[in-house]
Amino acid sequence: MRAFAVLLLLSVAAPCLAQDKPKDPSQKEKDDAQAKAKFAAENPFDFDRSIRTLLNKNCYRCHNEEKKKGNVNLQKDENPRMIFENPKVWLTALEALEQKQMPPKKEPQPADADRKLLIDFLKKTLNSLDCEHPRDPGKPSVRRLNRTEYDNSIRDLTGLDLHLADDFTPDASSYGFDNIGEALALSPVMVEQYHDAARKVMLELIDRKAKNPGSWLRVFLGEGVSARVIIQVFATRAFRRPVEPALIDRLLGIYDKARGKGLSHEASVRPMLTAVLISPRFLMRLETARPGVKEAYPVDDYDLASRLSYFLWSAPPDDELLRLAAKGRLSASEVLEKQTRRMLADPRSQELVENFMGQWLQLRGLSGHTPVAKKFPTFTESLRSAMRQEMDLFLGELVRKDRPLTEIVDADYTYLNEELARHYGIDRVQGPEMRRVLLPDHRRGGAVTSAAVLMLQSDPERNNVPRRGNYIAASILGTPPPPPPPDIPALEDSKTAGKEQTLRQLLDLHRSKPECFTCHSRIDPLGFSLENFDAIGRWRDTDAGAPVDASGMLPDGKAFRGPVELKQILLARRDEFTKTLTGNLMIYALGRGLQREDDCVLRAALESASKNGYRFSSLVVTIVQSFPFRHRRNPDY
Amino acid sequence: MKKPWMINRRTFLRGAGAAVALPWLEAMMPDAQGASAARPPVRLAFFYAPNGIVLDNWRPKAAGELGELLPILKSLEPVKKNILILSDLAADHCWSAVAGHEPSGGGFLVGAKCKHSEEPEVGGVSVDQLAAQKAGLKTPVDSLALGIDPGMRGDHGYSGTYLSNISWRSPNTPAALELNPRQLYERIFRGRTPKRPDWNALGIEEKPAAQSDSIEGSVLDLVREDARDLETKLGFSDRRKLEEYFEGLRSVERRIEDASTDSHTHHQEGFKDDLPRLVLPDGRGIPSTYAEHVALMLDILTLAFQSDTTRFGSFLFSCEKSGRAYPEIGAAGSHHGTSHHQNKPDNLAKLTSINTHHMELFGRMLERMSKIDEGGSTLLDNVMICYGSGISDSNKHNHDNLPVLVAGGGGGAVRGGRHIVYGKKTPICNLYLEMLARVGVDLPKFGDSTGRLDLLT
Repeated sequence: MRAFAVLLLLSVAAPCLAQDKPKDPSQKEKDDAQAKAKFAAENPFDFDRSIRTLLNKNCYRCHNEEKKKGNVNLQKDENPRMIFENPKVWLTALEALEQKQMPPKKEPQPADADRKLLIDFLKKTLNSLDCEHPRDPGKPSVRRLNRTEYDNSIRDLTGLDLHLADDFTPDASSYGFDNIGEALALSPVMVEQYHDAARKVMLELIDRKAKNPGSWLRVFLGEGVSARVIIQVFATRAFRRPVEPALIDRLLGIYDKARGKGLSHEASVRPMLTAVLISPRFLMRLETARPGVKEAYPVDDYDLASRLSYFLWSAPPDDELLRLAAKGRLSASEVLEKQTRRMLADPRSQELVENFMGQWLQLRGLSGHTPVAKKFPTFTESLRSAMRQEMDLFLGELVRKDRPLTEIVDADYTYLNEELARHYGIDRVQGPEMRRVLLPDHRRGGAVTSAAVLMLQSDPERNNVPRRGNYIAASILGTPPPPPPPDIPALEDSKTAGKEQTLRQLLDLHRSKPECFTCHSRIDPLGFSLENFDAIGRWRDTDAGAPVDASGMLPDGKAFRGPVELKQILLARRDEFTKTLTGNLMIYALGRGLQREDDCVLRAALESASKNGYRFSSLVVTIVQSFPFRHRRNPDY
Repeated sequence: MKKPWMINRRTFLRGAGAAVALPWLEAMMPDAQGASAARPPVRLAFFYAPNGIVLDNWRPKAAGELGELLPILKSLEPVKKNILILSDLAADHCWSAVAGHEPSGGGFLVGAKCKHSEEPEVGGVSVDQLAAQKAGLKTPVDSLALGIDPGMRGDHGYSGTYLSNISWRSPNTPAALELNPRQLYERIFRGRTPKRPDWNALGIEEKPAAQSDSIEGSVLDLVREDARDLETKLGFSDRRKLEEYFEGLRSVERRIEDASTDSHTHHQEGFKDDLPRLVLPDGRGIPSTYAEHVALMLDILTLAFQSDTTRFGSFLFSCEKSGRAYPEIGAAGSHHGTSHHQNKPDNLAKLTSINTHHMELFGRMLERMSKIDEGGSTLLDNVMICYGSGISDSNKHNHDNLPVLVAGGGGGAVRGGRHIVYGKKTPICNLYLEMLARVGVDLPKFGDSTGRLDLLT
């Protein structure tokens, strides 16, 4: 943007410079000013030449990096794109300009024409969401394989399921996910970990090959195949694209050197393969750039194959995807859709359940949550495992069988074994194995009223009403309340001396405080409706001897009671839910946060979902077919 | 500078036979003023306790010599003379209008604010990593960043990275957190028995590693050259990742060289039962209980200091905002939840137990350090360890009046056994600046420091 403006500046300034050389400075200034004015008149909305000057004069003196008057810093948005991405602040600024509240009365006022220019500029910039002509696929960022992706890549590459990444440095979580390009840092210790892991793979693959007869690669290595063919196949799969012949030659050079030192064929293959496993081409997803291109361009078919497979399988592309990419056919829309559906129906899409759903619905914490044994003696490790399996199987069916996404809120079936069924008060299930069960009523069914979610959104010793409410507001409806203020007043602040108060009375008291009201009036009722479930997700009719009161009233005055009515409310708001799910799915698919242009994809997904019975695939297909998923732009150098 | 009359320990050993374990010889000792060559170096560490600390059970009533310690610090009684309690230090950089915990962990050792973002960016390099970058190249491993818990999910628009890391190599890159004791042990000691350092040999120049013609070397060369080609195609932030990658390749290279030649010249002999042997659990190598896990990690840190494998470390008892439950010490609820104690006695008691538990594990490490002889001084005399939290009281999320203590003698720089009360809101960065100076990194400023913290008087 700025470079472009400089070019413009040069082209405008050039004729002046070429004319009479010795010019008196005041004349030059005048000429410059004239040129500027002329340019501004022709390009009224040019940011660097017109708008910034006006902002400078009228806004930045107070709303700058240092003063941040009224906690507003307008200066940080350095170009129209940044302004576009920050509508909250700029819509306020726009209003203040229109109402003539800003600049303040006591300050010099802009000329009416200038004020109008600024207003028009802001209106145009803020309303420039053009879904017909998307332009920005987002900042490109190399995505290092996270731990899951690394393990799956090694597995697909070698046939060995070694889980070496279990002991790697944990991956950072941003936007709630562990596959965000900008957050997945790489540090030297990790390179040592990769190097160690590569040695272990080689050890398993070659030195201990008799123990792993299942590895395709081992068979391959044992069949007297030439080193060139071995490295060709191995590197192509590892790098997920054809490898330049020069690099193959260099890799072979290592083999030759080892042979030259008298090592056996197998011992010489080993360092060659090690080089592949510690190469950034394997460890990171490096996409092919088009040098010099300013606009966004379609990613090449191999990159598209990787985007697709790491999105849906957390794993490298399989042979079919690579074959289509080789023919340049994957990027054809109908092929892409067909492949997407094939992949969703494949068992490998369980990775999407574990990694996407597991993080979005925060199910991953299950292994670390331990209810207090004294209060919950029926909680066992086998019950914990059944809770996890219930979600894996239920959400797995949703993905593979393409069920409506609204079933995440409410479904008439689930997966149970005897122990979990008894936990749910259902008595006709026998034996330890999980099976699909039709539910007698709507108190259960879906993720929101699953034991896993209900337990995880509780404290280890008791229910946590605001926490459960916050979970629904944030993860399901996409409206997270702001953080609580520090120094929260104690719940029993105003002493009702000696009188035992219920949690509900205490929270009512809490909501009566203005600093707490706004948020708690939104989240508490949602949480209260789940009070019939205890802190390990069991149904209860009484709490400490008193009947459970699961009633609540939403800020809009709507009264409701219990989980069944909560589900009805959530289903009535299924568009919000769908958008929340899509937004999270997009972050996960693209490995970056959302920007305003992504709204176009959210809208398209919602439209597609409502036309297709809210089938889960409608979101996935919309995202895969979207502009940002299929395009990239060059990075800023 | 080495004094001519000092016997080079290595020379001596050659004559005496390397198998004999030698006591520390007086002739090898530095003179009273501390000849630089033979004095063990100062090692720095930073310990982070999340979710604040119950100050009422920590802070001594009065300044001056330490009397009986309050409950949380009770376990430090045996090493009290090596403890300085520093009161009224502040970390303004931990404050944020929108979140209490996220910037407290991530920013604590950096001394500048964390960017409010899901794409992590702190305000600079953390104090431990800065020390490592400037002074860590003398040892096989430049620094260690250790912890127990895998990463946390962020909230309120902050990346979880801020909660899970205190050590930062650069504003965007946390030092890799290591959680698995077995893997840590194998990585830093490289399959060899840790050895007793010979401080007399410290000044000896290491021979530059001979250009090796090994196959492993060729593998690294190839990968490096190929990555250099790739680098030109990448954008700024991605090139940063590759820079870290190259640095990693250099580490791998060093360890391969070390495996063939003992490039770390001042290592002498295996330890002779200073401490009980480390026992690494079978399987994945992670002990089953929290306390054993912490103790093992700290034993390895101690061993890494003792053998001069590294001189800088950080340790995270748990992530900031951690909801870890400690049922084994009667604090079954979420740590974070309990830390919003609302002044309820029950919560305060539980929080105190957690704080005390951490301190006991820390105290155990200090006691072990106090038994390690470094030739007239102990390891504890030669470390300088900052222990603290970026939050004072989690119920208020305040970042002044922080719970901070310094353990160890700092190579003679610190006179312990005291409680020092500074002026209100003295930046904790003043302490960092002082600690950096103690390892020879003299800077005019670190973070929002206003000068070196005066510890001696």
